[in-house]
Amino acid sequence: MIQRFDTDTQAALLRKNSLLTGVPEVFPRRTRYGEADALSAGLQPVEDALDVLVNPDSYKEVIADCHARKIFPLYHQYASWCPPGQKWNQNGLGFCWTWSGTAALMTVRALEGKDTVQLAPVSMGYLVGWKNQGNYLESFIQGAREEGIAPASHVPNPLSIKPSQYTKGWDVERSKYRLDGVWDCNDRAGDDVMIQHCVSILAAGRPLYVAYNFWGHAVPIMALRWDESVVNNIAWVIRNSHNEDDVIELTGTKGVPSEAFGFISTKLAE
Amino acid sequence: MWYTESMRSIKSHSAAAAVFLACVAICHTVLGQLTVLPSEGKSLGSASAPQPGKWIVFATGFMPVSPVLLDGGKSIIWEGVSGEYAVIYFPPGDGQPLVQKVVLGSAAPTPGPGPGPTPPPVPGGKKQVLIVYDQDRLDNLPPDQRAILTSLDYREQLKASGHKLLGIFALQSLGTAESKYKPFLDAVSGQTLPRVVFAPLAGGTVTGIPLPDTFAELEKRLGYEK
Repeated sequence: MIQRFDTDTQAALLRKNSLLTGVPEVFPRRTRYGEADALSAGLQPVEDALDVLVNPDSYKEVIADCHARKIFPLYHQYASWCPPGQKWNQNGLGFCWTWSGTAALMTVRALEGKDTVQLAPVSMGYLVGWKNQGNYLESFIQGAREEGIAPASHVPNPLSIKPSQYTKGWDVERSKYRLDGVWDCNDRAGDDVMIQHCVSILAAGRPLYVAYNFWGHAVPIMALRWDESVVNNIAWVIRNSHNEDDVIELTGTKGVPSEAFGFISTKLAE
Repeated sequence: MWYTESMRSIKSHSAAAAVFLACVAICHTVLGQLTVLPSEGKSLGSASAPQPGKWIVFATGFMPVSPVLLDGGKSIIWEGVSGEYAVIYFPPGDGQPLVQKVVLGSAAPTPGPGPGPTPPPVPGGKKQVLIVYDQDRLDNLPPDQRAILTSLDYREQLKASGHKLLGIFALQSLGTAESKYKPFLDAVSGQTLPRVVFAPLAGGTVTGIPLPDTFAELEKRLGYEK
């Protein structure tokens, strides 16, 4: 059964697992939506990428259609790297920023019809000097674009942040799994705008790579559920990395991401 | 035409042996130049029979191929793109015609001629399919067309029909490196997007068409109708 958490009343419960890592895992974004620093980092504003965003009056129908035709990235995730019942676990490392980004990238590959290849989130540890510490989402995006993520076949211990323990050639193999297109969501114009941007990207079949400041945590959002009993009528469906055997859902005012990036495509290496 | 269970009277040779035959029998000098087969991107096929006869060769889609007669009509060779060919031999007198299927080249498809303004529906059969779209114009597409690019449900239906989806790629993510999908990507180059490119599952001519407006139309164009 999929667990649902109300961010307005169960925030402490959510933070409990994050506190187990012992380190702050995610830092608030450094770049500013739509401004030079974000643009130079390749973070394309979704309002520039899409001429037409999903109308809020259509959220219910769009969400229903995305489930009916299995358009949401959740279904591609289920059909590829993480079916229901399979766990996804950062296991005490303060590496949610790469567990979530890696999940989103593998899901984009599935959307593109590419072969399912399990990737190793720890291989991005070079971004933090191979230390158990948090990072910026933009840093992961840059690394995933420039270097790529190593396949799990080259990382025998999925929790090792010692590259000397990786299989020789891991740093070459990773170039086959590189992120390409990224759309940026506006985190400076209020929840309604953020929701619209997120809905529009998810309705395009793309996963969201997001951070929640209340939680100090990064997760990928894979779908939405329309529920008129909750705030914003939306439950956010996320593939968390705390050893759950399925996705979890977030509701409440804090369910709206603090920052969000849509992963659009990966570089063709085949 | 009649089929016979005994195909031993027709021998199909490997492409390597056919190349040797071609070199021995066909190489000649014309105005000081040497003409050789096969041409670039093509393979050679050959067939032989105990007696001289009449030969007909068809490529996929019953496209006629003109074979070259050898050894007084006992043997033929022909060149063509990778794919399936039907060889029909009419022995002298009242003998029954014999038919043999021959596959030239590997399963990897080679580029075929351009699709033309309105290519006719492709004959039935399982296909390998690749789709390319413009990421910057994704939201300009009608909802049903966008759904073709993203719906897992549609992909499952394609797979159930026996087709193989090679990928759905954004033009911007293709890069410049040589790809194993080169024949398909070549068919997209310079064309209006989104575009669907397909070839027979066993290999053959690559065909590119504009992405149909609906999934039902796409299925029809791939040769599958419910």
